[in-house]
Amino acid sequence: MANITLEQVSKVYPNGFKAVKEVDLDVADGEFMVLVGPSGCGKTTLLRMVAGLEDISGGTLKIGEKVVNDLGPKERDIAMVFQNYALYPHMTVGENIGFALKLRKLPKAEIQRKVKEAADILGLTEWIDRKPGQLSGGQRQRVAMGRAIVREPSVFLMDEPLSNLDAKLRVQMRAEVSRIQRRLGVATVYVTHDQVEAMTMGDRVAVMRDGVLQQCADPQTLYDHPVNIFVGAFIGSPAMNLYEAVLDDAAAGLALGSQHVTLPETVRVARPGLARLGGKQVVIGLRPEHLPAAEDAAHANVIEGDVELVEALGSELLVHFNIDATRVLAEGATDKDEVAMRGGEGVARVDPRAPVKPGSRGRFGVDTERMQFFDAGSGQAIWG
Amino acid sequence: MAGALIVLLFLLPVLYVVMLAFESPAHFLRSPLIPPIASPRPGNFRSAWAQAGLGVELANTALYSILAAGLATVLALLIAFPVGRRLMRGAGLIYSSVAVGLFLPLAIIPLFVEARYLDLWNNRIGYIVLHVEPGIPLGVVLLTAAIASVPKELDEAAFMDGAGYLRYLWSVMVPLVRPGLLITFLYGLLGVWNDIIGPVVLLANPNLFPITRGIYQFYGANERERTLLAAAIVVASLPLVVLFAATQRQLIQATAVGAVKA
Repeated sequence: MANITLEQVSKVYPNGFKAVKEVDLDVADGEFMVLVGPSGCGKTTLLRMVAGLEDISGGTLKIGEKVVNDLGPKERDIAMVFQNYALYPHMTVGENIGFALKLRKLPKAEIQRKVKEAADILGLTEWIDRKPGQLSGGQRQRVAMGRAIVREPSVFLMDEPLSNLDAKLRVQMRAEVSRIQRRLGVATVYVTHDQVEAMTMGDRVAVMRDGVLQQCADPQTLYDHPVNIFVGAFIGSPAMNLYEAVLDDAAAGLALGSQHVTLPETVRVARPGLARLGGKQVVIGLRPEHLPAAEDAAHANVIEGDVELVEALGSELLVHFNIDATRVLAEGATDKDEVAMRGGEGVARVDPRAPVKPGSRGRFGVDTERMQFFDAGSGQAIWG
Repeated sequence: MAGALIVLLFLLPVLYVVMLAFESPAHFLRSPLIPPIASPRPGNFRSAWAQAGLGVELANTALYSILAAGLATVLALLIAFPVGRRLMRGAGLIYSSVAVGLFLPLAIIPLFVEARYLDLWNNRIGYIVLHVEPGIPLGVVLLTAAIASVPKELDEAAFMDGAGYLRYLWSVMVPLVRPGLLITFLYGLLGVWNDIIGPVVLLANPNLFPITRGIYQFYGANERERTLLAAAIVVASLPLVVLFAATQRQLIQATAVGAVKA
């Protein structure tokens, strides 16, 4: 078992494309680290560099105390689960799991014992003589896990291991992978583009974009204190509502389109940087759950919007509304269908009993304490 | 219907040769087109076997064919893997230059000269070495396609599992592209087995002759012995017929190139 340390790790392809740019990351022993980001952000490349399947163009990669930049995958003592599982189609489940042990020339009896042990952990015992072609997607996924755990490696690498499963199975396997990882206590780097997987599975989550590590923190910190617009928009579903707003001169309030929102003293104290931007344009972020329906007018701040669509999820309503402020899109952070949103569209998550109807004028309380502020130019969060 | 006609067109000469093999020379001269149902002569086979020394020649043929085709198959795999995986620069160039070999005629005179220079003329090793090349181009073309259809992640998974290059080829790639290997081997085998120019040009010692050269003896001086010639032809081709019949199912699989189920 070991920790993984990346110092200024970069990947430059022969054609000059920089896939990974000076990434610093430290994965503690036993930690579950999730790399997340939109496709093409370099997360898989980074994982493959840790695996030894891609050369490292610059920087240092350490596993334990050892620099492994120039070691082959074989010498790094790591196991990897591939997106398409990469099971050997001509071998049985048992042979697949035991292949690495066979290559290590372990005695047959010991291989059998270890394979059986792994199969027991994963509930594969009755399929041990089947070939991968005869298994379901979930079972194949488990075989791929088995092949990794049987080697007792010091590091696990997983490249979108659940993306080929259907939605229900994915939720189930999500918990199972987490459970196995905690049980084995092996440092794990897990790549996904699914921010729900990232939030639910990771001890810490590293968000990447265009080869640059944006933020690495535990899921709650990531959610509550995104460092920039991109992270704010990428984490959370439905996505954070981002609008252009103009602070008033004393930064005691802001204009959101034609509406005004008062900022309490606490916000200004927590974010002294706001004072310097008095009278200037900023980007504000409001998560849908921080816009409760405000029919009782108990809220200090209320914005009004035209309700366009109400999605009833049973436990809550997702209210799509429109205000006359300009919506900000963080490029690459949101799904394509969300990019299609126009003008001042936004989403609020409200109580299912709230009397919100499409076509009506909705009133939403604004939780200014949880409001995010970003620099309109750099996209960085405004704090100090 | 058309299919049946075509089959008949190709099958008739074969059946005719088999029929001849059972005829007496007298019957052949009198009525060559009538089956010798009244007086079949299985003794033709024994006479042909003894007269042309078919036993030794058949053993020679088997040795040459199996070794040359086996070597061609191994080499084709060793070329096709790095080419199919683009593990080196100029993989495309290597592939096309090998594939061109499919369409080039065999330059028999230069080959003869080369064989004399390299001491490959009139000996077993030379004969085998010179018969390896013709089996390679088709093998490379077939195996490159088959290998390209095997997911690259299998290579990576195996390397992470600790497999070396050759170990990976043997334990993972070979079982997955077996139909392609089989057709490469059989095609190569067929070429060596049926070669008639090779033994005439490259061999002089009768002890080294393969069976095609043995059959050749029934031409010319013993021209009248057409029935023995037919018997010898049946002996020479029977092993191939049996071999192809036995591997028919895998051959059909091989035509679905690269059909690897993941």
